[in-house]
This record gives sequence, C-alpha cells and structure tokens, in this order.
Amino acid sequence: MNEQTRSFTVKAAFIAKPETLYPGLSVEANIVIQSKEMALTIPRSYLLPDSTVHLSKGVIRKVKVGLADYQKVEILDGLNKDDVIYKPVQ
Amino acid sequence: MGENVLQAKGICKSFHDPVRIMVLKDVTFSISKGEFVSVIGKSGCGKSTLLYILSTMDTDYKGELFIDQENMLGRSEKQLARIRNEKIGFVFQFHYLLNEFTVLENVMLPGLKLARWPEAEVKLRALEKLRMLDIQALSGKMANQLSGGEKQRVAIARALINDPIIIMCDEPTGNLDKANGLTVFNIFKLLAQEQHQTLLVVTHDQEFAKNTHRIIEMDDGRIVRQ
Amino acid sequence: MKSHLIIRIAKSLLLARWRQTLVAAVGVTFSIAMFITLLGFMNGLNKLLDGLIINRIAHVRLFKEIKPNAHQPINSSDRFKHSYNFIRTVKSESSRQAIYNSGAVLRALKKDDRVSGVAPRITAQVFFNDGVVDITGVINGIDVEAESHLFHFNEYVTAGKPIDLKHVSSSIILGKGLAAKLLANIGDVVQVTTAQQERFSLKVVGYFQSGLQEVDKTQSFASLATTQKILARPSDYITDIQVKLNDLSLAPGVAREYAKLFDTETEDIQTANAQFETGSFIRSLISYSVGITLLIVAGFGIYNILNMMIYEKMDSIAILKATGFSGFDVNRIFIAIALSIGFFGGIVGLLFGFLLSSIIDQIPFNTAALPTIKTYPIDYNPVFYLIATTFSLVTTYLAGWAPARKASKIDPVVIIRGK
Ligand SMILES: Nc1ncnc2c1ncn2[C@@H]1O[C@H](COP(=O)(O)OP(=O)(O)O)[C@@H](O)[C@H]1O
Ligand SMILES: [Mg+2]
Repeated sequence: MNEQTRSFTVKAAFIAKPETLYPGLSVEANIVIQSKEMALTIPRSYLLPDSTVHLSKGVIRKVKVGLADYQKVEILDGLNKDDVIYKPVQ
Repeated sequence: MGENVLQAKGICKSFHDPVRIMVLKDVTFSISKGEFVSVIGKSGCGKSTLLYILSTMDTDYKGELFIDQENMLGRSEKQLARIRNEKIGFVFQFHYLLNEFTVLENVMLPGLKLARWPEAEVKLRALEKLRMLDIQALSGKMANQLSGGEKQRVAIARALINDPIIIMCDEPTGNLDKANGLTVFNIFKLLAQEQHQTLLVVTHDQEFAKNTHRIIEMDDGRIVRQ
Repeated sequence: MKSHLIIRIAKSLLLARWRQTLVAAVGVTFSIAMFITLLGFMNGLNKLLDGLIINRIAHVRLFKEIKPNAHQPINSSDRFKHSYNFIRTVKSESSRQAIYNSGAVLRALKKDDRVSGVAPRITAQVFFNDGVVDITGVINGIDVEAESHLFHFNEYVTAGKPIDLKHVSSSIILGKGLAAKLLANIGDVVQVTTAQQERFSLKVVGYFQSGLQEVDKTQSFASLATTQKILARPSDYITDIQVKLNDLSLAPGVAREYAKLFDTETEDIQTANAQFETGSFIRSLISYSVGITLLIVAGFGIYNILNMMIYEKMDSIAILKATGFSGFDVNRIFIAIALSIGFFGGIVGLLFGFLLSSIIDQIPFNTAALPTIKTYPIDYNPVFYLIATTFSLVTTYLAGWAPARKASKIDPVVIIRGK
C-alpha cells in the first residue's frame, strides 16, 4: 500500500483479449471484500439522524445500523422484515 | 304649367316636448319648374319646420315628399346628402359660411363634393356666380371678413353652384337692413326671370311676398291659402 | 368619394386651430420620441449585457465531469447483479477528463446543420511563479480563430495581437489583473508550474480584459498545442467543446441529444443563464409599457382637442351636411384630422427620437468592466421606428374615432334652428 495516497497497485490481465485496444484506455474495477446473505436494508431517507425509525402512531425505535450509502442502509438489529416504518416528514 | 319640381303630400310633423304638439298638419302642395313661391305666416306657425323637411335634412315626419318626382321616403342618409348636394340649394336666415375657407372656396365646396365638373371648371363657375351677384372682388377674402349682406350673397352663390332644381330660403332678408334686403330680393327676382330658377322663399316680409309669383300662407301648421 | 377633398377640408379645419393642433401634435411627438429613445437605449443595454455574458457563452457545452461512474463494474457481474452492493471509496474516472475521441466528435459537430461553429478548449490548472510566491491560475487552451469568430475573444484582448497565440510558440495572453500581479509586460516571459511539478516558460503576447475582475485575476489563454504540451497530453486532448448554434432556442434539445450521442456531459445556455433572458425581457417590457403609456396620454390629448374642435365647429359641420356632405364624409374629415396629427406628430417624434438617441450615443461611458464600450449603447433597430409609427397612427385613430362619430351624428336641423 502506498502510505501517501492510501492506494494499492493491482495488476490485471485479460482473460479474453479484445480485438482492438485504443490508446488512453482505462479500466475500472470493484474489489469484493464481503458479501452477506439475507441482509435487511431500508431506504436511507427513513432513518432519522439519531439512528431511530418511525413506527406507527408516533412510536420511535432505536436501531443498530451497519453498512450505508446515500440510497440504502443496512439494519443489523431493532427491525425485522415485517415491521412497518414511516418516512419522517421534513 | 311645367313639370313638378317639388311635391308635398299630407305632411304632418309633431314634436314631443314634453307633450305632443302637432306643428305641421296635413300640408299638401306642389311647385312647378320656374315658379317663384313665397311662404308667409305668423312666427311659430311652422314655416321653418316645413322647409327643413322639404330640404330632406329632417326625415322625422309623416306624409310623402317628392323631389324631382322621386319619393324621398326610405332613402339612406347618404342618398339624401347626395340629393341635397345635387338638386337643392339652401340659403339660411343667418349667413352660414365656413369661416376657415375663402369666399371662393365656400362657393366651390358643394361643387367639388358633387364632382360633376373638374375642379378648374368648378372654380370658373364659382367666379361666374360671384360676378353675377356682383361680389367677385371678395373671392379671395376669408368668409368671416364679410358684412352680413355680402355673406348672404355668397350663400346664394353657393346655393347656385350645382345648378339646383330648386333653391330654398328661410327668411333670407330677415337679418339684413332694408337696402341689403332689397339687393337680395332683386337677385332672386333676376334668377327667377332670367334663368327661370325655381325658388321657395319663406319670409315674413309682406312687401317681398307680394312681388313673387305665388304666395303660400300658413297658419298654425296648415296651409290656409295658396 | 374623393379623399382629396376630405383631406383639404381637414387641413383647413386644422390650420384654423393650429395652436391646439400643435399642442396635440407635440404630445404625440414627445411620446414617440421618448418611445424611440427608451427602446433604443434599453435594447442597446440589453445587447451590451447579452454581449457581455451570452455572446461569450457557448450555446451548448460538451465536457467530461470528474465524477464516479454511475455504472460500477460489480453491478454488471453475474454474481452480484441482483444483490445490493455497498461500494466504498469509489474512485472517479480521473484519467478521462478529456472528451473521448474528440477529433471525431469535432468533425461530427461541424457537419451538423444546426451548428454555426465549434471551438475546442482545454483547461489547465497551474501556478504562476513570481519570485518565491506562486499564484494559482488557469490556462485556457483555445483555438484563437474559432474563439474570436464565435465568442469575440479578440474584442477582449486589450493589448497585443490575439493571433500571436497561434504564431508565437509557447505564448500566453494574461488576464489584466493577473498580469498586474505578475508585473508582466508584453514580451516578458512568465514561469508556470503544473500540478505535475513541470516548469514551463511562456512568452506574454497580450492582455485580456473580460469585464469580470475575478476572471481577469486568474485566467490566461494559450493555444491548444501549448496547453497540451504543458499538460503533457497528446494532440487530441480536449476537455471542453463549445458549440454555437444557428438558432439559440434549440440549445436544450441539442444538448440532450449530444449528451447521448457523444456520451459526455452537456450544458445548454438556457439552463445555465436563465436569468439573463428574464432581465432582457423585463427591460423590454418596461420600455414598451412606458412608451405605450405616453402614447395613450397623447391619445387623450388628441381626443380632448378633437372634442373641443367639434364643439367649436358645430356650425361648419351643419353647413357641410346641409350642402350635401354625408355623415360618413364628416366622419372621415375628423378621422383625417386625428390621423394627420398622429402622422406629423409621429414623424417629428421619430426624428427627435433618433436625434436624442444619437446624443445619448455620444455620451462617454467608460468603465473598467467594459473595455470595448466607450459611449452609452443605443440600438437603432428600424423595427422600433416601425412600431412607433404604427402605434402613433393607431392611438390617434382610436382617439379620433369617438369624436368623429359624434361629429358625423350631428343633426344640422338642431344647429341651424338653434341660432
Ligand atoms: N325642437 C323642437 N321641439 C319642440 N317644439 C319645436 C321645436 N322646434 C320648433 N318647435 C315649435 O314648432 C313650431 C313651429 O316652429 P317654426 O317652424 O320655427 O316656426 P316659424 O319658422 O314659422 O316661425 C313653434 O311653435 C316652435 O316652438
Ligand atoms: Mg322660422
């Protein structure tokens, strides 16, 4: 790992070589570091800032969150797939 | 008797002011070509009212009016204007001239409107009429610079410009002094004698009336003698 | 009936009351002159501002934005296609800031009938070295001829010859503010350092003054080749393509089309500069409404004077009617009076408007922001003169309509008996 840029150099080779290669071509890749079956996710917008969600009739519940991006968030604990949650009003 | 120039059949006229007053009651008469007719009667008996109807300016009446043997009933305002322009010469008691124009232009205007002759000829005719009435010297003056007698003569010249079949006058000497009145009367007489011009003159001047061919006497909206 | 006679009578009536006529005509003259001046000035201003901003902005801009690819590779792998993938530390496609296959794109654009011109550009972030101090700046690699032709680049070069960028190798035109900071004169050599720590010497061949201070303090221009050399990029390296269209209003559609066709980001002028259109529109609206208000006021003046004239000329109207002029003739006489006030007042108004405009056009207007402007801007668009004439005739006609109608309805018997 390059300490300064916090990046790795990865070497890759074609499995099937393309017919023509243009100058200046670049490659893009994702490295899979973990995969999980049967994970529970909710839309990011349903999660309040203090890691709580709205259940019906103003009941608020604290949840434990895992991975998150701008669209979705993983719920590790506090909800199951049959719970109904409400989108908080802005 | 010559042909009929003007014919009135049972003309009635009433004003609503505020109650209905009959001003003309069944007025019937006719005038032949070349006649010099005077209409006399007491003030307020309906002479002017009759003249406005005969001259087609007033169309609100009952009865029938024939000018040049044509019925005036149901004609448009535009057609009547054309008839006034072509066939009738009108001289008012007050010398109505257009003050924005010269004497010559005043005389020419009805001729230009008729457009029977080109402008140059209308001008010649106008000058000739002015000469006949002995006022050619005034032709370049503005209308409002003339005396009453002069104005009335210009008005007569204007009435003559299109060779009308009849000239109607409403007390043409009423506003003039004796001398001027006489001049105007002599002009009418001359027109009647030498040019056989048909004339219908409303007057209260008995002297004037006596010297015409025929007198129509009115009283309270009726013809009592003709 | 012959209009000749109508006009003659109208003229005599007018001249008999020439004082009132003059007042009415002066009203029209004033409003027309103001209308012309106002519109000319406002539109001159509009054009100036358009020139300042819009003329220098491409109708459609093609560029590559540095941002993560929306289609990450994992989402197309068979194994993970149907799962939700949290991807961390996504890297931008940084290496491809250039427009892919730019030569082909430029050729395709030039062939498009809707395009009036294209100008490729490269932007390079650099440091200008001034002794021990480094000043951050931008070098815009441009095609001088295309930029001058399409975006009036040459008009903003206040010293030096723009074309020298092309003819003198390793040359640069500095923003006026930047040059002042660097104390660089024309003919001097300035040092620049790239982000890759490469140093270059560039010869100053001119100054550039855009009218926007911030721009002049940081921007500079060099030829495409020079910029490519500084960035150590091949000759097809282009980061921006500026497109000018024949019809500006097509820009949004064309932008969307190009985005798909060339697989780049695009931006159209309407979206980028919506507020300018609004500004121009409001200015035009104000000048039109003021002008028309003035005309309406003048119209009321004419209306009043005609009404007065008819009151005074009752006798004349009665005589005209008694001697054979119809109501329609009388109507036409008064319409002719109204229209001639409008016509002559309007003609003089156009003249005065033109004069006033030319006077404003001579007034010095010097501002650092607008190096090419020396006097107040005026637009002598003949369309304004046409509109003004039409309006003056229409307003005076409308002003004359009611009085003329009244005059035509006058009953001569009432007038004659009334004496
Ligand atoms: N517009 C009018 N409204 C009501 N009455 C009128 C009107 N004009 C005239 N009259 C009346 O009609 C009558 C006749 O008037 P006029 O014809 O002028 O008489 P003359 O000319 O014989 O003196 C008079 O009694 C007059 O008062
Ligand atoms: Mg009378």
